[in-house]
Amino acid sequence: MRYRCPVCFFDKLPYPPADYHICPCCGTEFGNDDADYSHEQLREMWIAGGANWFFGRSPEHWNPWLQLIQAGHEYAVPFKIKVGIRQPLGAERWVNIIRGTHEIPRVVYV
Amino acid sequence: MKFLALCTCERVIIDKQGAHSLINIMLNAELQISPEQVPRNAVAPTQWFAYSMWMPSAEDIGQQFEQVYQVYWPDGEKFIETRTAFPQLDETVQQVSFGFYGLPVGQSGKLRVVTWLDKEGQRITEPVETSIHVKHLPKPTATPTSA
Repeated sequence: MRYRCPVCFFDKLPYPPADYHICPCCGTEFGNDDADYSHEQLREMWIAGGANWFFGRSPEHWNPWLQLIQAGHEYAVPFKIKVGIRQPLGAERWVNIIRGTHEIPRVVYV
Repeated sequence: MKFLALCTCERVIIDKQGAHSLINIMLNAELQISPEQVPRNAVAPTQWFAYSMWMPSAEDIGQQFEQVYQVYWPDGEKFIETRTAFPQLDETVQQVSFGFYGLPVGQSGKLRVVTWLDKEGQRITEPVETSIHVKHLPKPTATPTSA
């Protein structure tokens, strides 16, 4: 049985996120850290600190941003990126992906 | 199985007859970077697809295959490896569209997408690859206007 961390969404916790177990990804100690702060606040603190792996070696190819995105929490990714998918031969079409923390994701085709 | 085609695109639409339509072939991705620089492991929350075609031979019919995908950062480090299984039911060309959610954009350069087919855990085709060229552009600065 694997559990998901409600702070960073690492989904291979060997124990439920309770009873002073510590997430190896974000370092949250459940029952202690989340007694003082909400999960969202702890997530913001983890991201503000660089979203680094907390304990030991991270899983192979682990990526904190992909973890957040694949958990459906892409709004938590803090940096704003505007990606253009450029075609050769002059055909050009832009996909603007602009978001900030707490914004609803939106895609604008121009 | 004989490799026929591989490309990356922004969307794939599959109709009721199973025909695949590719929307916006992705060869280049350009980013305008915010003043706060993105980290080298930055991933944009956007969906993209890898589309491939395979030509079966007579002995492939009725067999189960697994397509392996690897995506590499421009610095050569692996970003992701994933697999999808499909049965080859008849002699028609096999089209496989695989959706990725998250485009690695933290590094400027060539994003390599590598794929091949496995059967019963053994690689049965040569790896083939395509790439998306990620380019970082400076974010335009606002020009002052005179009163």
